[in-house]
Amino acid sequence: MADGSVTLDAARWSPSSHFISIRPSTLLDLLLADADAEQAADNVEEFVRNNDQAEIESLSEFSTAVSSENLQAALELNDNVDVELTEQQRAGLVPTYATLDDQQRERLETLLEQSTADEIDFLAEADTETVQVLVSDGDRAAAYREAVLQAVDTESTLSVDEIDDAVRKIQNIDDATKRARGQYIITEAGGEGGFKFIADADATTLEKVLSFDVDTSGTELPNNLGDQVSVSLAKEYSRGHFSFNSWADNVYDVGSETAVAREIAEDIEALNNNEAVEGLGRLLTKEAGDGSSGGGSYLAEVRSLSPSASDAPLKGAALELRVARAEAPSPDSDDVLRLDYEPDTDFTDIRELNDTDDALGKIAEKVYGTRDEIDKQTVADDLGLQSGGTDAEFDAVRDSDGDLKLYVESKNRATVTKADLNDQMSRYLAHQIINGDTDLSDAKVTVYTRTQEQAEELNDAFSGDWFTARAPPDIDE
Amino acid sequence: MIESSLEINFICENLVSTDITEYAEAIDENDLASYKIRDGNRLALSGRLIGSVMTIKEPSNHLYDISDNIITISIKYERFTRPDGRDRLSSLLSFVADFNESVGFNYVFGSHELRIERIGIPGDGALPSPISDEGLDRNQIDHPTSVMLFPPVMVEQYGKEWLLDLPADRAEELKHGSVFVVATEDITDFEQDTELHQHINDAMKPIEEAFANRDD
Repeated sequence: MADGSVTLDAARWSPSSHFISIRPSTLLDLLLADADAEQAADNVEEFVRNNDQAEIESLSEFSTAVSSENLQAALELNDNVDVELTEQQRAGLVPTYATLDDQQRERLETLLEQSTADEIDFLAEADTETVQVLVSDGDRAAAYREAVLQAVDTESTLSVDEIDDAVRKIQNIDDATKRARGQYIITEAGGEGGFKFIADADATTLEKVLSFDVDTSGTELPNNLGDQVSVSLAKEYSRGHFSFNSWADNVYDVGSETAVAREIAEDIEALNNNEAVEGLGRLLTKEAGDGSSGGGSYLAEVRSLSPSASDAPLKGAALELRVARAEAPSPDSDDVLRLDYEPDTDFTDIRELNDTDDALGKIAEKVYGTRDEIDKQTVADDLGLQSGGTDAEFDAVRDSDGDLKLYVESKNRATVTKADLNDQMSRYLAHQIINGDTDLSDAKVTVYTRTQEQAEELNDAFSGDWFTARAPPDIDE
Repeated sequence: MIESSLEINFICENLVSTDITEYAEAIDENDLASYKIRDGNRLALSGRLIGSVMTIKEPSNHLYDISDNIITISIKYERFTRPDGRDRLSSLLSFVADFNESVGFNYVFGSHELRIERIGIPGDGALPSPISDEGLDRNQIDHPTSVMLFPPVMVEQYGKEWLLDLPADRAEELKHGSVFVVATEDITDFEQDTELHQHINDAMKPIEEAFANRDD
């Protein structure tokens, strides 16, 4: 002490006393901040008895906001952290520090020493539960901690309270698996929409987005694909890609943009739970087994795409998922709906059939309206016959014992014309002929478009019972 | 596989007709390509341009801020990824230049379908319409695209040297003073739409910066 003495007299202790004789005065303020007179006296006597002069002096730096109950924690924090804290920071940190076990305290001490002033401010202002989460053990916790503090540092529109709220919202989820996915969303996309999505989503939406699973067993796809897709949904929401002014209100009947994420999550869950559906992982990743092709959705890969990639990957996948759910056979059906299906068909095989049966003419007549030479040449080019044959990829097919009963294509675009579909139709019809449907009597295609008007125009452009275009399907919950 | 298309649009002031035959005559007169007319307003190009479809689109069927119909050639990028893809692209670009010389369009521009779809969308990633009625009245475009063919009046507006100095794979002066700019012709080795889209986005960045920083 400055005057070298500490005088304790229980009779003098009362909340109204100023305790001038004991320096620093802050000590007394601390000791009496939330104790009655008798308790305060006990606190002071016990404290002075248990601590040496240096420790008592160190309290002169402390805020009066630190309660007597936390004095010991305040002292330890002061001793163990080699960083200069402001009074306000210390006042915020001490109550939390007091609740931590030894290992958590060590991690917080390290964290404080490695943090910027903004990050320390956040830790000081954050709820105790939030800090407890952030000083948890393990690599995932470390990544989560880093993501949260990074969000504090970056120039985002998020306030400390919003970040704090999101962390607590996740922490309050009872189910550990869902809680882990919530943390993963923050870890992977905290500053890129993760916080905003978590903060804005209602309980039902959060429950759905944090719970759907994607079974990737037996494939080379990552086993946390569901987690990855949930990150994409959060990013896309924050980028404004679920806006009702674009495509979402054509595909879903919902009242909020976060609810679009819920609908997508429900579609994925329904497809994953249906044993008559195959290829959900392929649709979400659009990675062929041999890596040779890929189409137009890439919902999982949205995570790594820049915002300038627009909403194209999302909207393509979203309609495909909705359509697949509507077209899926019942789980006990013998039929299978194969998503993102790539048939092992060599289109050059059609040359042989063409020699005897005018196969190219049959396709040309259905797709282009005549069997003129120029239309047959166009079909041949659609199939890539001059260059060894093209690959084929169908959004979905309904397969019954190896026979394709239906080809389903989805076009979630602002404009769609017959020209956008011609080459795909040629490839599908060629696949049918090569696989035995030589007169194309079993050919059947359904194309889902964004709007009814688009569907009507396509129905006018393609003649015949084999082709039907439709607006997005309604799903009965 | 690549499913997206390249769309090349030909702007002709006060185009209200949807009859493609008038433009078929321009193709015939200069023997630019073989073709077949389908349904009156669609023209299927063949030969070296096979797979390309020319249509006349009304404003309700295009996303650009102009009130007139436009002529559009659409072709799937997948065709450029084949072994003869570079020849196909070269043939298409030659046809575009020749067709423009034959008709004398107000402006010609081309873009990846996924970039066109970004016009006016909500949120991040939105792009402005490349043209507008007001801009065309001033002989200016509103936003650059990956394929641009500037007629002489626009060349005068922007400056020939400035256009020829744009950071593009092709920036060349054509007959009668037009300037043809193609941001990237390296579009033949992609397997996925997003990769191709990103490549074109990257190629467009310096060109977009050049237009944004230009002193009018």
